[in-house]
Amino acid sequence: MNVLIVGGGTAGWMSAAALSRLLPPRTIDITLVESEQIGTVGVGEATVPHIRFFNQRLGFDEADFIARTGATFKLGIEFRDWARKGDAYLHPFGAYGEPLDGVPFHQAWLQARRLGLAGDLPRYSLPVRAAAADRFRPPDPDPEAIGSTYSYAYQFDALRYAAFLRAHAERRGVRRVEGRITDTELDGESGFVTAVTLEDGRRLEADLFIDCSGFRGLLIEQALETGYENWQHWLPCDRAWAAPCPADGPPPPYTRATALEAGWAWRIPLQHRVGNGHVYASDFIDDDAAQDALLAQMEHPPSDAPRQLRFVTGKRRRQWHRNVVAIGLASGFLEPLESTSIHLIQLAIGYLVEHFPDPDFDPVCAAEFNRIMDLEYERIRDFLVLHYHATEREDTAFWRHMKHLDIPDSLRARMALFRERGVVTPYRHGMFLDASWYAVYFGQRVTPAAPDPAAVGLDAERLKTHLERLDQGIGEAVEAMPPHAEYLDGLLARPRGAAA
Amino acid sequence: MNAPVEAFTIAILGEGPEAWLAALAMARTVPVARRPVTVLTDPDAPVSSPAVALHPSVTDWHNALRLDDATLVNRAAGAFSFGAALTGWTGPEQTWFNPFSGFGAPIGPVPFYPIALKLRAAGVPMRLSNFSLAALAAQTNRFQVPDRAPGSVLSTCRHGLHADAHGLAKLLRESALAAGVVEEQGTIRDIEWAPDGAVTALRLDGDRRLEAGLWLDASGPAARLASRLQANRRDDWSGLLPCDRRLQARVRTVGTPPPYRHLETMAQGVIEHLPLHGSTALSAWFDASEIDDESVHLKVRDAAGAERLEGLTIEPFRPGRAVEPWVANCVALGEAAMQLEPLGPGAFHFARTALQRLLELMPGEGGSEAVRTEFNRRAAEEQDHARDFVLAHYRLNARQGEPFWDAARQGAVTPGLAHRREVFEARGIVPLEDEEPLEADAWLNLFDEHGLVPRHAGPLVAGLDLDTLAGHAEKVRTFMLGALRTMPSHEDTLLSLRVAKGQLESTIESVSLAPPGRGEDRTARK
Repeated sequence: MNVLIVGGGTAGWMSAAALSRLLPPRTIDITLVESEQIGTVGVGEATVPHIRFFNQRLGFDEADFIARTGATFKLGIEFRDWARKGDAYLHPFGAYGEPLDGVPFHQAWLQARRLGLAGDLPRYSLPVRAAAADRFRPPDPDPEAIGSTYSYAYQFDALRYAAFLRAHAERRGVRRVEGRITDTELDGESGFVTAVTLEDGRRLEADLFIDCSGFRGLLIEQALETGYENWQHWLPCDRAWAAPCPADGPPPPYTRATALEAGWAWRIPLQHRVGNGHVYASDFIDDDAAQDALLAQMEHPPSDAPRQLRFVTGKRRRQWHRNVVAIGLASGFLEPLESTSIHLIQLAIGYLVEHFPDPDFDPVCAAEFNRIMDLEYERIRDFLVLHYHATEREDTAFWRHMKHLDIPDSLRARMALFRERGVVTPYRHGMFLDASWYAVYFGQRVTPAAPDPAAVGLDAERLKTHLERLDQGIGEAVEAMPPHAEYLDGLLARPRGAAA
Repeated sequence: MNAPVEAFTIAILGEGPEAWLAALAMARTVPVARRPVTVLTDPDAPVSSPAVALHPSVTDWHNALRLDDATLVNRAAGAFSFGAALTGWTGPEQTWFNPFSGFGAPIGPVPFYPIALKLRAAGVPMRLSNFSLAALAAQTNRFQVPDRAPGSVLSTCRHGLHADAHGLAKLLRESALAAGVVEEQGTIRDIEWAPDGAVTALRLDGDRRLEAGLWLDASGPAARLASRLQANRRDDWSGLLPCDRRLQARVRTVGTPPPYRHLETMAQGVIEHLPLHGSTALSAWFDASEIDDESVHLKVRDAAGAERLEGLTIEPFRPGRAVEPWVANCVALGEAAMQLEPLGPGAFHFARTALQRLLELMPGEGGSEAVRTEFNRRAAEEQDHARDFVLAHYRLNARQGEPFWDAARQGAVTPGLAHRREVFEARGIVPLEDEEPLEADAWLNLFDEHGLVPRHAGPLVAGLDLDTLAGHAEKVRTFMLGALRTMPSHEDTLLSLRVAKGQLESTIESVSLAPPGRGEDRTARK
């Protein structure tokens, strides 16, 4: 089967690298067409821990990857000023505490707090305390050790990651074609895309097209008019300014997201620079003011002129339509508040492999792929809306709007359940596990009315001992971790493992 | 209510194992001194099912309840099970085996099923159950409790248990009473309602009154309390599933029970053999418009090869579920919430999952609206999936030329089943949703044995040549046969767990064997 990937960038080269690695070599022939004239949205990219499994499956050596992409380690995201101005919390890659007598930790903690026996929730999370101390080390492989109670991700330069993936994909036989697509041919009967034509007249045919052309969706939208489900009424931010600057001190092992007047600002620390950006709602703030707001909170003047991005939050009605599968920004857009863009690419690649088309393009495979991706998209959307909606801020029109928003029913039911009894229902398809929901709920002052009755029944003395033991164990584990910068330097100084 | 809400009392209706399981689970979660638990048993209640099938997920729960396999073997005529043998469904005299666990082993990222499909397409006979140690063991009457050591072949198996319902109820009751649960005997005369529709108290015979903040109805199909709650509407499945009557009985047996249950078809329904130590429990589900009670009685007797059936009961069977098993402050459990032929997990399993869900969602001081909504949503999803699994056996049956089975093949299909079948037939995979009562492999095996053939085996197996695949399959089989040879017989395993009476007392918690009189237990505890 001939596969044509339209567009390079992170989505295109992740798809090329993964498909060339995961699919049997003799059964598939992959070409990627991209144009150097078309820029990619290559801002500093923060990820979630799943990226490590992607890299592992592709056989990448971690130290080599870190060196080539300017990467730093990431234990979570720090959210500032979300529920109230002056608030700060970390959404860590790891659960809080450990259950006691089968009672979930956060329930036991709620009870302990009522009895005056507990410290703040973040005390009982190793990654939160390690991040606060700017320390990092990979988790302990012994599952019994307290040092195993977290995971980690990376912050890296997306352009360099794309180049890293490109080298890998080309070594595995992916053919790269330089050129700008000017025309798309559709089959008169099936409506399938049969070929694309380049500016210089070359014609590229394929059986399966993967649209990684970004927001515009060259094939999925411009050629196939698949349609778009607009979610701006729930997530009104529609523009961003992005600008890098030099770092002020060693990189911390976390990303930061600071709520501003009509949106929020990201700070992504890399080895060689800091990525900054301001995501905002143009209905509530104008472009100039938004740019000023970005610059005002950066630690140094920008080392490059700020670039503007425009987007419409939502998703394609079908991510896979006929013989076109949209991956990355062509499939939809969710703001990078929880670093989900690369994960959505990774999910789409995984589900595409599982439902990879046969020569007859069984429509059931596309329908099943779309069903699962829709669930993933909707559930991330709900999680993002939670960040804006769970606020006490009424200091600007934007925050008043978000606080009183008519949220999706699915989120309303979830929040009601948490407020009533502190329960988070797990999903089969849905990237954010219960620990993530707890972190954002508690971090944004959404508190259950009462704990689990089973927690109320716990013996106070046992509860106290349990919390003290955790507190002490975490404190010692963090103390034993090296500073993030030191660990990073050590890794970079090490002789490289075999490049993938 | 002036008392703190978490201190409310719980009352459970029923006398069978579901009711006592509920009582024990509640008492183990919150001390009864803080939250008293009463079980209201009705001496006039009809006899419950003679035996229960404990699904592997139930045995997984043993630790929480401080139960173990050995106690069940000793106290409840327990016999182990690796799954179910099904006869007559896929063709005359055809038998297939659906184990609780999966099949074969993957090659890296390539699952076993596409490997089997590709080999089969090349003419190699590949039956999934020949690549399941559990299925191979069941066929040869071998059984060993699976370990959890990663990499061991035995860890690929999962086991359940069959238990005598009376013995199991007694065992659970003793543990529950020892944990401070109080038993009341009585018949409901009247219900006292709060203005919001909650049940505040039951008036019982002899001018007695029982109050509680939360009611669990585990009284079986009669649903003595749940059926009285106005909003307790039922989703009726009689248009989908044909059997509307159930026979239950038991026969005495000698020798070792087989380590599986057997579900065989008859011309107008289904017969289940559930082997226990010393007896086999028999159930039959049938269409009363096709066959009368006496004829079913004779058929079951012949199927059991017995001269007579003991404890025979025949009663209406109404496939369906409560639209909302939790209404106001009353939660229906087991057959009070759903009636469904146990071609998959049975009523005891669903009582168990409902209890687990209830413990997770137990109302606290914040009220019960959101937790109730969530409980009902999850229950509905789980129960509809369970119904679809049963429905698939009927819709895909291969008994030709008999009105009951011909009609069963042609009826309507639910959207959930249609979707699963569609994805399976396209790709040989089974999509799973959030609240699934069965693993994907149980569905795969069902579809596969019933002759559905995926159009495509997926892209990954295409890269592997036939020699590699055949070598892999051979290796898996050799590995399993090797493990099978060293596996003890079911009989030896049962014998090793059976202990002398004297030793037995120390294996279970010390229990009060006082008669279940009212008041005495309460006083004794103080």
